Amino acid sequence: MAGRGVLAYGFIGLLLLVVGVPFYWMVNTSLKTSAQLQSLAPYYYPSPGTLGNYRALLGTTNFPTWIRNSALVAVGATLVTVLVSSLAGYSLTRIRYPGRRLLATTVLIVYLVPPTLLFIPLYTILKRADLVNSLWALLVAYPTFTVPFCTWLLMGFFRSIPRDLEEAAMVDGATRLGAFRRVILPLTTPGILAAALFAFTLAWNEFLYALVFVHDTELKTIPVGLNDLMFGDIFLWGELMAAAVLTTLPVIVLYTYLQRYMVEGLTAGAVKG
Amino acid sequence: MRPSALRRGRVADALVGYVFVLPLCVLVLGLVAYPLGNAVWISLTDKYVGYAPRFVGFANYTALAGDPIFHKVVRNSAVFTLASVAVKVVLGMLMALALQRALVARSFLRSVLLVPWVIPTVVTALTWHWMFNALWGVINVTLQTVGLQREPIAWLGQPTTAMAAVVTANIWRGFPFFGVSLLAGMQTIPRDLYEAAAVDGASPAQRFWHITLPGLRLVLLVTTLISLIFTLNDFNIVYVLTRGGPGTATHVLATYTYEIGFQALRWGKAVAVSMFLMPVIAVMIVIVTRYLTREE
Amino acid sequence: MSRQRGYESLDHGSAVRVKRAPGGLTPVRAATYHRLQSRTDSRYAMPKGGAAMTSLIRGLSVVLAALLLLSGVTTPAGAQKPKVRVWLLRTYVPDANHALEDSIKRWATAKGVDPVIEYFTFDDIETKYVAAIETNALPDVGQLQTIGPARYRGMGKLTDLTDLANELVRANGPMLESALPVVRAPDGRYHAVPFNYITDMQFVRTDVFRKAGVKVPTTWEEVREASRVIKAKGVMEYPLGQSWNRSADGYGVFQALLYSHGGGWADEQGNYTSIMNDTWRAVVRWASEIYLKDKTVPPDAMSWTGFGNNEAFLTGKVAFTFNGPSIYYVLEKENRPILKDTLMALKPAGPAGRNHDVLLLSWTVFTTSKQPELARDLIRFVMSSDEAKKYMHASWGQMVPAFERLRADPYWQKNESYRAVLEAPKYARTPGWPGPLTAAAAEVVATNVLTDLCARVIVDGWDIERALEEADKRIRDIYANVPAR
Repeated sequence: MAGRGVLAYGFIGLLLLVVGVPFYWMVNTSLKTSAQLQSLAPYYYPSPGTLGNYRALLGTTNFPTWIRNSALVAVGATLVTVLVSSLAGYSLTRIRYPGRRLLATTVLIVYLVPPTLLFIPLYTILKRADLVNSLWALLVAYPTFTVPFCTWLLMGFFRSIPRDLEEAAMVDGATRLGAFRRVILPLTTPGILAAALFAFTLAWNEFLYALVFVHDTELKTIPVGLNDLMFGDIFLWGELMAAAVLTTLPVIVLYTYLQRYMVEGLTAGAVKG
Repeated sequence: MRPSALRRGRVADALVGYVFVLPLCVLVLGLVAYPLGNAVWISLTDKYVGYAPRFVGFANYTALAGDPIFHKVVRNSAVFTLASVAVKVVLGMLMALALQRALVARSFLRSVLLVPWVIPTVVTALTWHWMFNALWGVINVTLQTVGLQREPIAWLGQPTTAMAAVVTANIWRGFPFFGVSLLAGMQTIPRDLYEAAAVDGASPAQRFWHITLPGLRLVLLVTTLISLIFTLNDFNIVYVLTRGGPGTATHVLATYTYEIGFQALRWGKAVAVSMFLMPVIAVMIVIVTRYLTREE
Repeated sequence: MSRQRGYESLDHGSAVRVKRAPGGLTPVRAATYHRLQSRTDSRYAMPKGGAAMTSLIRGLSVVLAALLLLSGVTTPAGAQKPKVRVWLLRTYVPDANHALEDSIKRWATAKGVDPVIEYFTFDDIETKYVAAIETNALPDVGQLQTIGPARYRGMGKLTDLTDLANELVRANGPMLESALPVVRAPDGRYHAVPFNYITDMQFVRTDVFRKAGVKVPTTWEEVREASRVIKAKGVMEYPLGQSWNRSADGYGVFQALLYSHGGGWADEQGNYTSIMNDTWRAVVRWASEIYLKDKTVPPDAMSWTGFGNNEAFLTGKVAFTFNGPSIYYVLEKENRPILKDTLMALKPAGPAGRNHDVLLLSWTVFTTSKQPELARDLIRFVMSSDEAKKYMHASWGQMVPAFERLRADPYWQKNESYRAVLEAPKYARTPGWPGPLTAAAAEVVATNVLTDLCARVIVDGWDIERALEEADKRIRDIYANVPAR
């Protein structure tokens, strides 16, 4: 038992290194001025370090606005996605009705054409609905690529639960919805959390729709805002990396907290022999 | 239950099924069907940005079929996608197994290992671009400082190493997806199965093979399929790291479509490029759907 | 509670029969499984998970609603004043950007109009314009890059601005010859008016050159020779930072090389001519031999993107490179140590003269605009002598005017580098030289035919003849298939 534990932690250590080196490079760069960066010395660490990039990012750019917009859109899209895809995923894998196989296949078909080509007709639809140049456009557009993905992911999870559990609950008088809420959801919480996380990060990092559907400077999301730090052949490296650090840390912290809050019950059960 | 009641129950059940799946239908049919249909139509025209499209039948497709650059692009995409996904699956599985066993600070570790997935892709690609640079990138500078290498290695300057570089960046960014999904999948497997197996005297390898892997089968299948599709369409990493270069060594479908659509302004041809692989992906999807929705 | 009862009914094994344990686990006996399952352990009775989920969703909804209320997600009801939408290039000189914004705002206040300024960058200009064209969302006034007018006028998207052009010439003096092919169509009408040049220069580290005993090159052969000498003397390993990559650093410099040797892919009428000739062979030889024979170029230069040569020069890894004045801007603005050793010189000449590839930004009014007169007036104001000079003085020497009287301003006599930047656009030959700048020529540049040609030889190891044949075919196809206007 101890041997395997060591192996596990050893591998985790290796992964931390793999993840850490590029991330360290980003942090390192974010604490240097461009003069220090281009003088190439000192190379591996900032000396003296400077918070100038962070100050410039928060002070001169619209960074806080970008975060607010991205948060709004990502949270909203995630809620919609989790609701729609969990219901749909459940229905497609656990209820029998004609056409469900066709539907399940069609759901993923949408990914065959990349957003770079889909955005023009999508824009036309949004324009007709008068949603263009507001964050609603993104709230409507993002589920088009997060929902199919999360539905499929959750289908994989839902499928793994033995059918008898809900059948037992329904035999005892619960409705489908009740069985779904009280039996299936709790059991697949890790899957739903994973799906929510992916929906969130996909929306958080999406660039093209945010660039094209929204013109207002006040409505820029983070990826579009980052664009403003790159001018063809002059890049504000320090600020770019500072932005990366500042947009990553909150998500990590949030996810840690969410996990502990939601999945505690499971791990407690696992420990108990 | 009496048969007629059972039948009534089944119909009512099916209706509930339709209701549950209604929001999805509205979303997919409402917002995607039109753009998709439009895309198929455009691929059959000679649409040039700013001009009205004219029907040309399969001319775009035949032109692509005979275009050696397109052949290279497809080959590159295949290599890029298959190599990346294969390593991501393995790495993700190992990550999930390791985290499964780790009980101290599991939530924290799980979140920290998510960092590559959360960082804006453009920054990830830029960082790797810097790291791979032949003259001032961390890899070469370190190799030279410790004396392992005298001449700078042109990582991004040679076709093979450039492909390896974009694959590496893609793996780095993508493996947490597999790790988190597979770990979540593992947590859905009832603990008692492991206990029962232990009671029956199964070794850890047997437990993995007979309990974990089968239990993960569906999640693994779905995540792999999704990753294949996403990696096939991945634009940012290749574009920022190499722009498809050197030459056409790392030119993939996404960068090729971008170049034809946004730079050559030949929209019809650009859509045809993405449509070209539709049969392949469609077949993959159909196979997996069959597996996923079959009667148990 | 029904859930609890549900699990107990499992225990009694009533309506449930486990056909196969989940996950297809055959070695485990069904009985053992049953026995274990019937225990009400916390694994299956997870009040915390389910309740946590509901409260999480509730919590997130509250947060979302609060954020929505606080921010006012939809755009506010329209103001009373008419709006004029302007698309500007966000240059790397914040001072210049602000100066232009201020100029526009001054005009807007005087006219009682609401200016809506939106920016694009060098990288997303294509994406934004294509999207706007296809979704009918073009602004009233927009800035275009060099190949913009040629490509968009054929689509009927650009208004005829001949009158405005003449007005500006009367106000600011004649335009440089090299601006004409960009803004003026072959039929003599203007569809855009010039804003500023961002010229590509030759950057030289004079200290390195002095150390190696070479002088600043004035021809392409001298460039090669100087690099060879610097390398041979051990002063610098890879002195020449020239990449044939998919950016203006690549296809722009290639055209400088090509046109100064008298080569081209179109004739004077703008029709395609074959490139299978000795001029092209010589040019591709120059381009490839610096990599393959001289090895004076950094080994991964072919995969540089736009900023690669900037970084190479600024980190002191190359002794010279061809680039827009942005390198000088960084050096000057931050007062870097190598500023005193950096010279911006004119590009080298070839047997057929000297050529500078240029980026000429121009102004246009889109035909979809609902208020073309206001749009024109904005351009008129911003390009008036006073306003243009204010912009010039905020530009750190990066944006070079196209009109004679503006160019005569003493601002440009600051030092040798500034003077070179001013003079360079005179030698600019536009894509498609010696013919006019047509949509077809624009496409040849935009689709990287020229740089792919070099890459075939340098990276894929093709011989020059074969690479030229492929490029020739591609150019021929483009000319045959472009919507001809």
